[in-house]
Amino acid sequence: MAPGERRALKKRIVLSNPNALEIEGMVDLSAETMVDSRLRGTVLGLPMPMIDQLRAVEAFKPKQGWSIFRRPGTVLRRDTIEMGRLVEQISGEGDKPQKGKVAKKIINGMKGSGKSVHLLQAMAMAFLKKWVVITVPDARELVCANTAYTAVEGTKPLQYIQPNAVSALLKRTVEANRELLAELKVSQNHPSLPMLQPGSTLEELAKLGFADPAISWAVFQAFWAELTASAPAAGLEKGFVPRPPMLVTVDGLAHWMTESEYRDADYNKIHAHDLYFVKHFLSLLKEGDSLKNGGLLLYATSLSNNPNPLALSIALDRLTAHQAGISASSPEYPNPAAYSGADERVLELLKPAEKAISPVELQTLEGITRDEARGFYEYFALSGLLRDSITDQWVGQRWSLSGGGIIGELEKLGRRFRAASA
Amino acid sequence: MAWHKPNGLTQAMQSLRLTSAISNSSINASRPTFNALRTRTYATETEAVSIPAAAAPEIDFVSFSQKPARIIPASRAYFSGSPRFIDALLELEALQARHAGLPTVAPAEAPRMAWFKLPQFRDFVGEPVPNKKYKSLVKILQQLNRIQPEFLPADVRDTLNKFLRPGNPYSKEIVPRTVDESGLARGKAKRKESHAVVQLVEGEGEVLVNGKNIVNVFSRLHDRESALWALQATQRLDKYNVWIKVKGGGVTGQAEAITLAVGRALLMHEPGLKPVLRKAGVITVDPRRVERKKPGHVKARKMPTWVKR
Amino acid sequence: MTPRLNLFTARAASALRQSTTPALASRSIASPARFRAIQPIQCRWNSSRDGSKKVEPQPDEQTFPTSDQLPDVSEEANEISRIMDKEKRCDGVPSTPELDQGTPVEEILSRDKQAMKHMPKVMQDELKKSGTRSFSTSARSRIPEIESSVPGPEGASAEATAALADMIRQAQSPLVEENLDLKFDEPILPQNIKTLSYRQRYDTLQEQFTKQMMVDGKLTKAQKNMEFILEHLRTSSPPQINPKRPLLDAPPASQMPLDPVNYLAVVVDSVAPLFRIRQQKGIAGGGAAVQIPTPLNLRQRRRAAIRWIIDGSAKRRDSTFSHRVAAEVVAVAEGRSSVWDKRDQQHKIGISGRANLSTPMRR
Repeated sequence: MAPGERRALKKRIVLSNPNALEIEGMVDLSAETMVDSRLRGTVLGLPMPMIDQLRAVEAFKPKQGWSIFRRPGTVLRRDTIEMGRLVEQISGEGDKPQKGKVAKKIINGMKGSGKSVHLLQAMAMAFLKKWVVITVPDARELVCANTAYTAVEGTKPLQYIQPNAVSALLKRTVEANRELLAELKVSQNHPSLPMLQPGSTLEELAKLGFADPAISWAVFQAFWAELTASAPAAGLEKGFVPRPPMLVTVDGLAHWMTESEYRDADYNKIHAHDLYFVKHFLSLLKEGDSLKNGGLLLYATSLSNNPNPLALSIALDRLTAHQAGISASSPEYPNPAAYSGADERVLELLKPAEKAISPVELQTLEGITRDEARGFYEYFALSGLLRDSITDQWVGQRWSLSGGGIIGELEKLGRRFRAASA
Repeated sequence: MAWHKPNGLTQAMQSLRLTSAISNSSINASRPTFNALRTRTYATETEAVSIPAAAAPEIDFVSFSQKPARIIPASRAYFSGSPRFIDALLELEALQARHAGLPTVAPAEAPRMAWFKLPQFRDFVGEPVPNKKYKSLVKILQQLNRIQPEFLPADVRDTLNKFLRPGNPYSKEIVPRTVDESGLARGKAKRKESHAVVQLVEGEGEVLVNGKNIVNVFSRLHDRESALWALQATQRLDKYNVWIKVKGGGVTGQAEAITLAVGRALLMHEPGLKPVLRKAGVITVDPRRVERKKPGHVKARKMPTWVKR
Repeated sequence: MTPRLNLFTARAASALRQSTTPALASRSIASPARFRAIQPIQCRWNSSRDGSKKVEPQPDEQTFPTSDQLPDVSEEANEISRIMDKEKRCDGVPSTPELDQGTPVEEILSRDKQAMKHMPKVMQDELKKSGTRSFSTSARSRIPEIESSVPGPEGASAEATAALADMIRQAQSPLVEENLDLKFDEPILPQNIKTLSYRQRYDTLQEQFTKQMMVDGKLTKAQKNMEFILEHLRTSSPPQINPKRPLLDAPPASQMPLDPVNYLAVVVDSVAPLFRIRQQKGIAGGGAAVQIPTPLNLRQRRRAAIRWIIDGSAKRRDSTFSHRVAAEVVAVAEGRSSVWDKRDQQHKIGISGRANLSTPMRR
């Protein structure tokens, strides 16, 4: 077996099964359909031109079951419609436009409840609305000591840069948002980047970081400054276009809430928060409008390969309690047990803020309803993968077997091959 | 025990005994006539010198000592190793043949009889009866038991009663357990090392195992299906809520313990489902357990490798 | 396994031949030869298979001790290939003219209207529906198909279907008859009642294949592998069937991936051998083993085929076991696999060893 073959096999993503039947009149996800509550429960196809963009930001994961259908599609569930409305709001459209709003969400839920696909749907919506999409598809890759790191002199405690990871992030972002970035011109002064041509586009700016990982962090900082700029700097007003809202997604948040696998000079473990890359994205969760032009922060937890840090679970419990209206002084408020050694930095970071401008919300994904499940299974049947007649009772059975509509389990049940179904 | 016919001298004695027995008993009445006949009517000697004949002493048959040549057994099965068992079997077969024409009832309607268990039967006959042979005997017992009670002949009844174990285990009526006043059925079951308690109420298909979602407890679809098979096979998965406590053993054992427990609980709600549940295999107990390790073995059966020296 | 010639139809055919005009009584070569080819496998030598209905030989059909001799190997091979070959029908299309000179009864009858009138009703019915053979060479269990064909509207009138459904319901009624203590609807039972049990929930062949793949009693792992294989069959491109190695009872190749379980079953049943070769010592003397073909039942045949497929997959260079087996299954479907050669080899040995069957059996 050739080196790397097994890994390649593991990471291979197949998005189409030519044997599955083409579905007549399948509705695509679009600006209109994504908020249409009449379509709730149907499977909306992802627009074909967008597939490359979604692949670029690594929205698809290998085991999400895309490979059995003719083309990728996702269920329009309640959470999706709500998110669609939110995206619409932030874009300044819809019923209650709130342009410039920043929504910060931590997505939690059971295994297979559709957290990653929720992020994917968010990305698809952001692409539809011409947002800038920046993703960290696997948070673990930043802390598992697989990518190079260098210390930044003069910081205390010592901080670290991961030049190659940043470079990869820039690549991803440019590839997915090329059209958009090509239209945006540099509007700020960047003394740290003397090689930057005046009047160049953001695409060209980001490309500086591809070639030379040594300056990739500086490039990323400049890039970020450009995207969050609300007004041009003096002397660079020419051709300034208001920056679009941003979607920032991180999958596998738990890995960032503990110590990383990196070691410092004394061979002590480096805390994930001491990595510049991680720190940057986590700082967006703090109070205030971290995204000046508005946007959506979606940080999802993941239960496959979960380090399960104690501090994160307490922090999430606290967020839940806060949303339920339990005050921090009440006895029901979750607190770490004495001597449990819960990470204070994590608790501090995710502390539910009182009267914050745009506070972090915890969104827990539950199972889908029976009606939504029915729509999901009709999609299977139309694709020729199910031969049973789909009745309410039939769906109800699968709904119970899947632990109450956990969509990943519903999908497993749907692809189950049974000779004679009961 | 009867005496076998002896040869030679003994035989002669025997015949003598028989003839004398005859003359003793049946012909006793006509003895005087005999005596008269025997009296010679002519004389060769003078009458005066007649010496009264002294009769031989009577044979005392009570103390008559006679040794038989060999003993014949009463039963033909004597040399079979388990004569009493075979006698019983032959007796039952004879009864069966004699009463073959009597009307019978369905097996389910026949009165329930507690036949001997195998060890008890072995004690009863005092012979090492193999299981298989005892089963064939019980089969005949069952068939005889199916004769309609009003036509049951007395000899059959007596014979059948011989094979009943003491005490009547079926005397007290088994009351099927039912749903309690709050509509909750409780089923318990074991499988391998696992023990499950299931509480079943009418609902809309919620399942909790040890307070957790079933997906978190049984990550395999196969196990989840096993656990809820009773409800799935009868299409009642969306009509009941299940609350399960299970402990001990591994994943498969837990899942299948739940299978049985759910089956039993469902039976309390709907006794009419029994045939279906039986077919579905969810109210059939699987009594298999791990076989114990034996001394001298590496595992239950595995022997250490044989080494010459 | 049903042989090529059902013995019942064979007997009926010979009886019929006798009853028709003398012109038809000329000895057919192919049919008896075919019959004989199967006989050693099918029936015991000491059985009085004709019973009371023994057919007297025709006057012009003299029987000599040698006239019943077994055909030569090439003829046998031809017969076997015909047996295994689904495409070639026996409805009068000779596959190899120089060997196959016999004329099926149906064709004779189609020429002779007089005989057609008098032929048994079974045959009359059979002639009406064209395109089906009166016997099966298939290893596939037809029970599910028959069952699934019950509600099918084609070929049967609506009332007949309804009557049939009624019969089925009656047959199943003892199970659900006395359901006075039900809270909800009576459960709908599966057509194959066996699959109601949770121990037999999977397809028979799928289960057998899974358990053959199991190592060290790890059923979960074997089931995972089976899932992968079925997934592979579902997503890989439809097999390009080699016309020399057709699959038995297969749906059109383009539809096979949509029902992966059936796909797997078709593949396994198509390469399943008809018999195994038993090596018996001491018959020939001198310690030499004699090869005796022994017929296999359906499960045994499948077992042999599955074993071959798994063994054949060991030579592949894919990374994981399940990949290898899945690729091998597709290779068999496309006729590329060495499993086919194995099967043909086995049949060849069986044909040559067929003569050994006449030796007295010793137990």
